[in-house]
Amino acid sequence: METRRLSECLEATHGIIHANLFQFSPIFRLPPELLTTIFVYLRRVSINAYPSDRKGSCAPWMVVTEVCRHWRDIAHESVILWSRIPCYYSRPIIRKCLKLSRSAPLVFIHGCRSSDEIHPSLKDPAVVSRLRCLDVDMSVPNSSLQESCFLLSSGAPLLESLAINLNRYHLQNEPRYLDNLWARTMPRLRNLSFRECEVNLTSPLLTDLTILEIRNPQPKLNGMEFLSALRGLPSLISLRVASLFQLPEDYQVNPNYTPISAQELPVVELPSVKVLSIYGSCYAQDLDLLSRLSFPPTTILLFSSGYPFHHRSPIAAVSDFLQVHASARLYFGAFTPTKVELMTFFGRLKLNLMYDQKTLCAFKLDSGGDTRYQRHEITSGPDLDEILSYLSFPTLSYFSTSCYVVPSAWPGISSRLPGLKHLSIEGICRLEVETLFETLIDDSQTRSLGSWTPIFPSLRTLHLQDIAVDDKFKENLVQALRDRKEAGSGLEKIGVDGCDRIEDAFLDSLGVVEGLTATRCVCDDLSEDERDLYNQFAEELDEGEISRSDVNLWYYVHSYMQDVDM
Amino acid sequence: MAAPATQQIKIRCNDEKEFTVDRDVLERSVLIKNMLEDVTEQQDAPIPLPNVSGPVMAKVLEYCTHHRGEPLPSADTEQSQDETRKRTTDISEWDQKFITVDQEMLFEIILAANYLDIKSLLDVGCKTVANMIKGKTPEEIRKLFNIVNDFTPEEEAQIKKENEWAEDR
Repeated sequence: METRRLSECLEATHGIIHANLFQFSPIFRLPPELLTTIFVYLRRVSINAYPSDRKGSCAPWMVVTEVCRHWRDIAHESVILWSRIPCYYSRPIIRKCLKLSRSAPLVFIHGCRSSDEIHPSLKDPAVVSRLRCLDVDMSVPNSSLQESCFLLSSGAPLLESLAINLNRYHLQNEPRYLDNLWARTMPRLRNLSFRECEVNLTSPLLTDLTILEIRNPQPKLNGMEFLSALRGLPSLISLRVASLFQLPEDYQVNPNYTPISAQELPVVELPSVKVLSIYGSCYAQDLDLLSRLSFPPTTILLFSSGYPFHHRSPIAAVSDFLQVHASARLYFGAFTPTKVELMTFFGRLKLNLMYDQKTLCAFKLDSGGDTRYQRHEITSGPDLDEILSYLSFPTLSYFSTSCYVVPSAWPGISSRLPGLKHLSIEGICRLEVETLFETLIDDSQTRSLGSWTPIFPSLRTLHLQDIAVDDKFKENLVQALRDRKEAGSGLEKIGVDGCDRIEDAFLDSLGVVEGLTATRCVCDDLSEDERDLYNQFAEELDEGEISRSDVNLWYYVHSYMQDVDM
Repeated sequence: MAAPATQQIKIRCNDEKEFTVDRDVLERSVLIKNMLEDVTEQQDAPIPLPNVSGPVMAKVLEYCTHHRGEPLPSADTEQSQDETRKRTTDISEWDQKFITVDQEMLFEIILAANYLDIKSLLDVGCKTVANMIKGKTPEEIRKLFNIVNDFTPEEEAQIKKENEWAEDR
């Protein structure tokens, strides 16, 4: 009897000790709101960081609910943790998110997965009415989109951001996506992105937008109507378009379509626009029409093409823009879709690189390959060398390339880009020791002449994206960077991005160089004012819409604008 | 004309430790900034900071001195806290080295940053803890932070099941 009593007493004591032991852990001094903040960060950093005991978990951050009752209670009380719902969450987890987010506004990202239908929760009016941000990729056949869109039209009072990607050829009954009914039910909508969708340009839904993206609308737009619609969007900050207009060669030719010469169209002022992006405009017609846009001189311009510019090269097209001479930022991406020696349109490009761009600050020379999967073509050739010989911009602050530039070319480039502060190199996957960086960093060529004149003397940041190198190269790079710093170089920061497994170790090794910051992303020290625009890019980066180098591009450009105090 | 001398402000911690610091450094703390703005006349009495100890304040001042002159973040709403501040999860090299301290100090710094209202320091601390948790199992997290598992085995199994990847359309 006595033994039993003592045993029960011991058990009770254990319980008391266990119940209070948490107080000795320093982390338990944090109030719930700070633990919530930590959990929110954890959600962001652990997308691909699975605990070792559950490689298949769709939401590894939820491990915090399994640690102890206190953490679980705090996590369950934090609606902010559960209100952002990516498509890759499993359905039970989505149900859990919907429940634990209570009545909070929802950010719902519904990606495209084979055989996916729209998530059942998007058919629930109670859920739809809570949506703050909806991103739906419907590139696969589905039968429930009409139903969901109907629900959206029946009431999405909190919706601020709507993105729909639709492949119309998979639909049996084509819905109209932009109409007056929707406008009435989305009073807060400010960000609209439609891809492959029908767009009704007269819809009042557009009126208050600050961000508009239209890619490959179906059917194609009428140029006059498009410009008229833009005139009614005085608050527009970001305009991104691609393949808006029908072309004679278009396989979906509308027999009633009559192209209008750009010169016949009115000029439209976009007083608030900060970002203007024209992508996928493989023929000049889009650019012709858009050349009727007038925008502030600080506008960021992005031009890219999935195909070579057959009819005119990008710079020639841009030269028609009304205020391009006052613009400091230009980005030409992916205009060389195949490997460098096959760039048959270099002749025209070379001429246009001679175009007098006195204010050009950023230039990206893209090989068009995918640097992440080693499909990037490493090549050189007389064409590329000649192109590089035309790179002569006195104010150029940022230069990015995924083309392979032979080491011997860099000193010449350096002399023609005297103000270069930021250099970004992407995807040189077979880089060896005796190549680019030895020339770029070690400066052995100029050093041997007796006077140390570093290549790119103004260089402050160097960014390496998707660079696969061996250990020997890393050692040499660290030594070269150290030499350069000791010699008085102003290089402040080196950014390395790409494969986590490789780059984390690379960053560690670079971090030992005194006076040099090694970081994954170079744009980690933004002021609050700078972050709004950065976050727009970063958000898209999260969703795989743009590359890290594009975020960096924005950062460099922004730095330049601060430097020149425009 | 000579530039005006930087105003020096005295602060007193809960262990009576006092610091005399340039005003612009101290104004990284919104709490202190507001206190100083509320005081119209210069006063010599130190500002009492009852929630911060001397050693922790020394670390906080190291951070504030390094980041002096940088723009202060604007006031955040609850929503923008999630949408804006927490998107950038990278920690700069200097901040990483600064925050490499023992757990005791790490959480004291976080609490001090919260009390003094230094958002950027609070973010650095919280991001650091998040990175410590990242990729760990519940047991590893418990061990890391000395947390007792107060779930019954049945509860633990049930919660783990709830969080598992499962498609039950």
